[in-house]
Amino acid sequence: MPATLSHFIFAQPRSLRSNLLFLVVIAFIPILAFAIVMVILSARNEREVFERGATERTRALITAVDAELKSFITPLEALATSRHLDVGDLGRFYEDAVRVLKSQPVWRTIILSLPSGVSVLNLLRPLGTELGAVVEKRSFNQVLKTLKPAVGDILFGPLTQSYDFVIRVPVLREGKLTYVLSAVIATKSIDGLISPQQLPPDWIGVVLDTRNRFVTRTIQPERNAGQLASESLRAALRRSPEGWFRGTTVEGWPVYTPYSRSSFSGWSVAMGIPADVVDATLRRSLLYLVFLGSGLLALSLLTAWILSSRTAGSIESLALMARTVGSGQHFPSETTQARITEVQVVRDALLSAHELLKRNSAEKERIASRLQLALQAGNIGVHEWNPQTKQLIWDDRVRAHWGLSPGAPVDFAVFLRGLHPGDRPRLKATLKRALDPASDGQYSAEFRVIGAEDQVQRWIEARGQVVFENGKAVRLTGTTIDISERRAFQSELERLVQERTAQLQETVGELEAFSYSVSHDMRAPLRAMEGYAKALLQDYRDRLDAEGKHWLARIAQSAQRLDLLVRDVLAYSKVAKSEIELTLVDLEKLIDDIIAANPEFQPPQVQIRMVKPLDRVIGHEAYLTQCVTNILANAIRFVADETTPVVTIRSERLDGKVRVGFQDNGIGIDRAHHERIFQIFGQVYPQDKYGGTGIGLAIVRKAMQRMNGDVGIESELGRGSRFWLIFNGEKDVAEPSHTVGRR
Amino acid sequence: MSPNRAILLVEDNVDDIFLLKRALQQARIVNPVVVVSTGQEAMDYLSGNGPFADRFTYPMPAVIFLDLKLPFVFGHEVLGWIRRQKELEPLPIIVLTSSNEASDLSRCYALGANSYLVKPPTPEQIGALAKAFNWSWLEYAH
Repeated sequence: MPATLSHFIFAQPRSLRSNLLFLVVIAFIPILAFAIVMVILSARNEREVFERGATERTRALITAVDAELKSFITPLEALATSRHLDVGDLGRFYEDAVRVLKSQPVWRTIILSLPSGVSVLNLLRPLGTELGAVVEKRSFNQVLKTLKPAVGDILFGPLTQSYDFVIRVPVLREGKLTYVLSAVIATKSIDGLISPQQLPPDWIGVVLDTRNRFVTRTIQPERNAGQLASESLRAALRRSPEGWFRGTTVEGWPVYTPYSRSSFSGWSVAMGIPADVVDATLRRSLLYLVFLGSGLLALSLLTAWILSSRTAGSIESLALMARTVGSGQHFPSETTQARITEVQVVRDALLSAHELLKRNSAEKERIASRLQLALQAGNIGVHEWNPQTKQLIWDDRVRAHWGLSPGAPVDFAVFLRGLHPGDRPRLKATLKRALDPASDGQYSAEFRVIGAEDQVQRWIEARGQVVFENGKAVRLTGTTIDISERRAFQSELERLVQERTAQLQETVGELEAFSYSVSHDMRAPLRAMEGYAKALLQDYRDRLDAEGKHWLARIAQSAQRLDLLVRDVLAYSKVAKSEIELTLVDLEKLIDDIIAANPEFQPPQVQIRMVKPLDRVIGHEAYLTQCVTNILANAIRFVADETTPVVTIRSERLDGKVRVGFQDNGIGIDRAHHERIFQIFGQVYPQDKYGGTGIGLAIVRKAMQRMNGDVGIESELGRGSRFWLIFNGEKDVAEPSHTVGRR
Repeated sequence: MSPNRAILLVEDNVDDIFLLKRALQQARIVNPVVVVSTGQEAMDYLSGNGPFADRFTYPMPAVIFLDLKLPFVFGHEVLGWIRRQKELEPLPIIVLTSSNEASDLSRCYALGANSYLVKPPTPEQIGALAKAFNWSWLEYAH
């Protein structure tokens, strides 16, 4: 049973209404029980008070009866002291007794008896009449025994023809009982004590003698006098001299009865209080309780019902709201206030949550649609695979990439089948790597897919990311793009590049052959021309006139010059095209070597001074040799007549770069020509006077550029020139960006 | 057998032959100059094949002046061949080149040339060469 109750209370979800009703009932039960207990206690208390009151009244009544009886004893005792009895003068005593009798209206007669039980005098008979024995023996014997007054029981007096009772007193003379004096008294003397007027209506009052016979009764005293009291009353009197019980009257009416017996007279007083009257209070209280309780319960239940309806309604509207919020639908703009604070709070919270959600979902939708558009525009497919459940999700673009129609069912097998057999192992390996929890989870692959339905081969690029949780791959998400066009374009491009490269290589080869031819074959005739011209000049000197010699000299010079020109052009083209590797170059040693190898750079023709130490530079030794040689050659060539060329070389560091300056004392170059001199054939001065091919500085500039450096000039006409070779700093030598061409 | 004193010139260009001979002449060198014009001839000459077996007419040279641009068999092939012949090991080979380009020169040295002369050589250059190699066998006109 308790299990069922707790199950009922706690286990099952129940409606708010049944909860509330249950609460009301549960709360009501102790109250009702308490009320019932209180009513019963109060009723009992009330009855106790009533009972006590009734008992008090009974006691008062028996006291009144005793008092009445005693009031009869006093005149009788006074009479007993009559002196006529001292001497046995019954005649005189008779007169005395008659006088007393007349003063007592309820007394019927006075009887004088001898202790032997024989009456000698009765006022109802003339003196001297033979009287019988005493009728009522019990009280007579009591007087004989106790020598004290006694009250007799009720009896029907044969003489009086009515129910009377007797009071007896002893007549004592010198301590000896001489007579017993008795007064016969009508019971109506007692009637007045318990008259109905003195009792509440319906109550029955009775006075009983020692034998429990009615002395008087408020109901029909005449008929009841001398009758035995009810069985229940007699039983109660046998139990105790005083008390309260519920019993029945002689008529059989249910009554509550307080009773009390006098120790003086042995008489009793009892009341019959109708049980209805006594019980009515309790019954009425209980009835009221039932009515009131039921009413209150009904009211509470009704209130609970209404409240629960209201609450449930509010909660249902909340639930509706929550569902609306959850479904992301538009919110019904309901303005009614909830009648429950908490519900209002939840409602407000839901409303703000809805606002937030609305805003968020609008933003999300925007983002999603943007993404969708972007995916569409880029023809980007999205795939997701769960390595645990093996579930594969593809959008229709991925399906299209796999040559599947929209909505076609896909799984891992479909994915694998679509792969070109040649690419399958590679892609599997890629995926395996990405799924390894030790990896970063990223994957990217280009592979071929043979369309499942259209058999078209597509190049697909897939990129994505594996998500790991607790060291396990739980999701693989990424994109696929159809790169077939790009692939085709790429291979076309590659083919073109190969083609062009081949063409270029061919051209380069041709050019090399051409250069070789130029440097070897084309120069051979020039050398021959020069050689023969010189031979002519030497061997036929005598037979030629001055003009002939001059012409021959011009031929030799022209051949020589053309040879020089060819060599410089070749040098320039070589500087422009060859691959070089930059290293750290010791400039001092390089210049020393150049001077040693070229007698024309040595004194007395020229003075070349180095301001040591010269910084080491990043460059290419052969190119640098060419540059330095050309600059020195220019310095020597372009000097005024009769001037010994002087060149001073120094280096300086500037902004992490090394600048090497060649200061000469030559004729200088006008500022206007500073740019031109570095151009090929950019000669400024007449050849005849200074020589040169006009290519030297162009070679310098090209070579410096190839070494990531530069060349510059500071010069004015007639003030000499300073050429600058500018190099990148030494610290950069290790950086690959300064390496030109292939290694 | 008399000590080698001939100069073997391997050259197909008559102008260059003329200019070299003239330079030698101007340098007053009178050693006999034997000229062959192809690489094959040069190898035959040195091997003593065919007519070159006559060492009186075709004596073993003390030096070879070798042009690299030869018909049929290129000069550097001849160079390589000579360097493979054990008995020719002490024979100095001077390459005649029309350029002093580094690529040409390094190839000559790589193949085992002893030195080079840029064409056309001047008498001074030949003199300097002789001096550098300490050629005591050279004979000078007086």
